[in-house]
Amino acid sequence: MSHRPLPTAGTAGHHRWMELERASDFAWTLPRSGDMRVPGVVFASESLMVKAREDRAVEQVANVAHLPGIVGASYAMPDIHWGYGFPIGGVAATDVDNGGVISPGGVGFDICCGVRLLSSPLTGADFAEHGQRIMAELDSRIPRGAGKGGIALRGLLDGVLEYGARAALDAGYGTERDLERCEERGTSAGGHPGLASPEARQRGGGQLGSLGAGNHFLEVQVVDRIFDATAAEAFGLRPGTLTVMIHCGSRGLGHQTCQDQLKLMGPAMARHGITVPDRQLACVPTISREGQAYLGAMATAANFAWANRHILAHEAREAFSVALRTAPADLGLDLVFDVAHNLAKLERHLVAGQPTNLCVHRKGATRAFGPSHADLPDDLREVGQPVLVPGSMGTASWVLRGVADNPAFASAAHGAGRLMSRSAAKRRASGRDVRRDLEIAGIAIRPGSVRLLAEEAPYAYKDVDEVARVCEAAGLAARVARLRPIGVVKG
Amino acid sequence: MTRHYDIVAHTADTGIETRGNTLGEAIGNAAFAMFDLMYDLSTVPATMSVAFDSTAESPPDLLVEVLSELLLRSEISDVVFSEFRVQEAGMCATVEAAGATAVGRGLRGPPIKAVTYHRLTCEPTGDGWKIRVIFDV
Repeated sequence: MSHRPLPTAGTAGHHRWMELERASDFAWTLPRSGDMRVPGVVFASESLMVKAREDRAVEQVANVAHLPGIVGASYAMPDIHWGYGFPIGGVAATDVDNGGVISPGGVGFDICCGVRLLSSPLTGADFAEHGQRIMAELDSRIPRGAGKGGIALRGLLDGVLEYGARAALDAGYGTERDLERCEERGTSAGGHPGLASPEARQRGGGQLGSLGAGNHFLEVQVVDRIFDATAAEAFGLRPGTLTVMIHCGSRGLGHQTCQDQLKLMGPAMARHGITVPDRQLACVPTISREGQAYLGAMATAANFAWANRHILAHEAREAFSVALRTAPADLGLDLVFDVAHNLAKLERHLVAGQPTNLCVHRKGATRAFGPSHADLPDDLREVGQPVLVPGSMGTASWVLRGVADNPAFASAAHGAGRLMSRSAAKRRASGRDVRRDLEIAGIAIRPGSVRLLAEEAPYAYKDVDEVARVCEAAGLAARVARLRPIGVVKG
Repeated sequence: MTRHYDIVAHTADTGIETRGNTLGEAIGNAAFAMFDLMYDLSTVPATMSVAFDSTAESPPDLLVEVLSELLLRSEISDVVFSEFRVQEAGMCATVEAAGATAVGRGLRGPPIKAVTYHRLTCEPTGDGWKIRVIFDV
């Protein structure tokens, strides 16, 4: 090996943050300039803006504002950071009936990556007594790392690509109630096995029921603080009880689907006479033949992701069951909710007071429907949708709830947001050091690779408490509960 | 064989920059860098090999095509590629790659999900070719 790190970014095109105008304590506006069709809006406090100013995230907010048919603004959530094409934390809605485009770059390679949270009546005391056995069972049962390792049978794949978590349920994983507490009930309409390329099926076929690596994880957490007792009760969260959070996506099947579609999107974009400032923003009209083809392929990969998290949650229940010598049904490990944070969705929102059909891209952003939304399950309609915001493995994660009059087409943050590049994080400490620090902090850690822990160290991420606070202050979502990690199974 | 590349720091992902006397050599160096980010290639012998052809409309597209195909074959067959020979003529690349099984091999970096077009550079210089590519990890 022969390499050395280069600076994070050059200076060309790197000045867009200087154009930001402070609109309020928690919102910044990037005025329209050049070929931007709408302004940019970044929801952040002064402290959260520090990193966004250092890298290219704000430039990416401006780039997204060039998408044909975009309405409102090019939004960025409080966990904004530099991605590829869209910023991470980017939200863009396009008017489907007026040339609005769909862009695979607004979804990303890990299609329907998301978070699933289970609540339980178990307590920190239970974990103190049985934690070693719980972690050992999780360690042995949750496949993670590169390549294959999925625990589901390959014969399940076709059903999963069409019916998502429903197909996994029919194969014996999870419970019927799980589907009620899952965005889209765990099935993205329009998915079909024939819409996944042979390459995507080959690449992801053996990975159903696996975590992956990088920032993906399964955590055992304890409910640390409650901010909204009514919503917490509706979500099944009580102080001092254990939760299980799972973060993963569509694995190689989704990655390949996006790559396949991007390859098709370039020539299609030329046929539609569309130009964009970054090739990763390649797009076509949503209602075009190519746009519909992408929507179908995306739904197919999304179904893999819904099922993947559903199967891993089933396996987590099995692990707790064996460790506690209690039947899975008696554990009370109930699904709080499952959210996607890399997806484009056809939704209806008010634009200039008029109901409008939109294609809402959320790239590292979570849908956050407020109370009374028709798509919410009956028992959550009064309080709003649970919004899951995982932090780093050493700090905390948050449960928020959707609120009325969200200013960004019902969207909120999806995580803490990275603060440091991976190479910078590795220079600061080794994976062994990070593991030691976590263990000293009382967090049991079962990494797929000790070495990779260095890149995911808590200090590589922004302050997730500040992200949650800004979400609430900016009217994106309201705080319900803070969750503290006590056991981490890391991809 | 050791090939030179530089890491381009990126907040969420990882990138590399490399060069070559020819387009084929530069693409081969980029392929080496992609796998070297994930595995210590100095420990990966060349015990199994693949060969394929890729075509594209432009040098950047050819780069993405070759790297994406290698990533796909690596994941499908559980192989880490460590040696690369890329010959290019008329936007057609003939690729030979060799490596060893990935099973039981420790990662030194997170798995690369995909090759992105973001800030993609693949262009001639006065004395060869230079490449910059950002990977989604």
